[in-house]
Amino acid sequence: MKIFSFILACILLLSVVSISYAQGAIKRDNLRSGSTSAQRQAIQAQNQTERMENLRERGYKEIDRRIASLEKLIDRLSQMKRLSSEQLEDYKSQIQENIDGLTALRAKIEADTDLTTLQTDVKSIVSGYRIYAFFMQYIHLNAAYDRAYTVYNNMNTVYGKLNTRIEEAKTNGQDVSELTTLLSDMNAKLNDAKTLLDAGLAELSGLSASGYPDNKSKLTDGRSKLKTIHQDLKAAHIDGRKIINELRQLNKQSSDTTPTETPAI
Amino acid sequence: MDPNQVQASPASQPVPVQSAPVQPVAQTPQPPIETPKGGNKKLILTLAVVLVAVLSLVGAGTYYLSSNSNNSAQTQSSQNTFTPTPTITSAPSEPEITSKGTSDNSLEEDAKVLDQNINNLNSDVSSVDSSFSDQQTDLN
Repeated sequence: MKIFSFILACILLLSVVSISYAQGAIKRDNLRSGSTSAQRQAIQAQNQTERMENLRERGYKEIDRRIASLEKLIDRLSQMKRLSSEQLEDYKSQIQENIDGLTALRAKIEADTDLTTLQTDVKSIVSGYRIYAFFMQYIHLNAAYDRAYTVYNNMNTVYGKLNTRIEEAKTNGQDVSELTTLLSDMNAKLNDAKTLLDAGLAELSGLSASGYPDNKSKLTDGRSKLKTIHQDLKAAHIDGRKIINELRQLNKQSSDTTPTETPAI
Repeated sequence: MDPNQVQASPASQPVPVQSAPVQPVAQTPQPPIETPKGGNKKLILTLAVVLVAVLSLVGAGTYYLSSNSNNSAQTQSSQNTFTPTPTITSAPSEPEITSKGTSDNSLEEDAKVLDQNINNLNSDVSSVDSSFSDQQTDLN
């Protein structure tokens, strides 16, 4: 009987504490959300305004960043050597069109008054301007290929000079076996790079923004080729550096062993 | 009357039997026997109290959880992450091999040009990687 009473007392105590906590929580909730319907509505309106402002700011930020990137792309285009003037103008025109579209979208987002329209407009920064994604990848790839071609040409010129120097050393009876191996490797790397450069540029030349994202696999393949070209050119560069250093050593050894002529008295 | 005659004791006299009146026995009050009806009441009361306690706990817990989930939802909506759009640094001008000489000094100059070429190419390849990693963010 006593145990039963004790359990009952405990349960009663627990229930009183729980009820008090729940009532307190509800009171706090009421205080927070406003006790009257008008207060609740005012708070809801304020929340929606804050949410819209937050979304608007995020939209501005994304648009501004895209416009800045596209403007820099136009600058980058101007530095590309392998583009024809027609290609250059065509790309610039498309990028400018993209910038204009984003600028207009920014103005629309600024004027939006309801959350649903604002959400749709902010989403369209991505969905409606996929051309941005294409150009960011395409122009960067083309710029890198353009650079790689210049690097290849420079290395090829240096390769010719090194070949001349090694032949001279060979004629002078110096041991050039190691240099010949390095030069051969340099040549192989340059040839591999050239093959991939031609293939990659051919693959990229037919792509357009209107074909995106269906042509994304070609962009990805172009990027993959570029990575191999990059590795080949770096390897050829290392070979060239080694050959130049070895040639200097040979030259030094040669000058050290050449007997100095005693001036005739 | 005969003096030897023993006088009968009054005890031997027949005593008229009188029936004493039955006094009512003062009974101590018995505790009321618990009827099955009273037990049910207690059981119902206990169950009600338990039910109230459980409901209160559930209510308080639900309120706590819902207020927490609202807070976390608000926090999440206000902290939408963005993948940074890759920025383009203006490309450095590309140095080219100009000299035609094959002397050590000339080759050293060529090597410096190639060093610069490779550095610029490294930068371009990084820009390509950034442009491909820019997965268009979902702006909801």
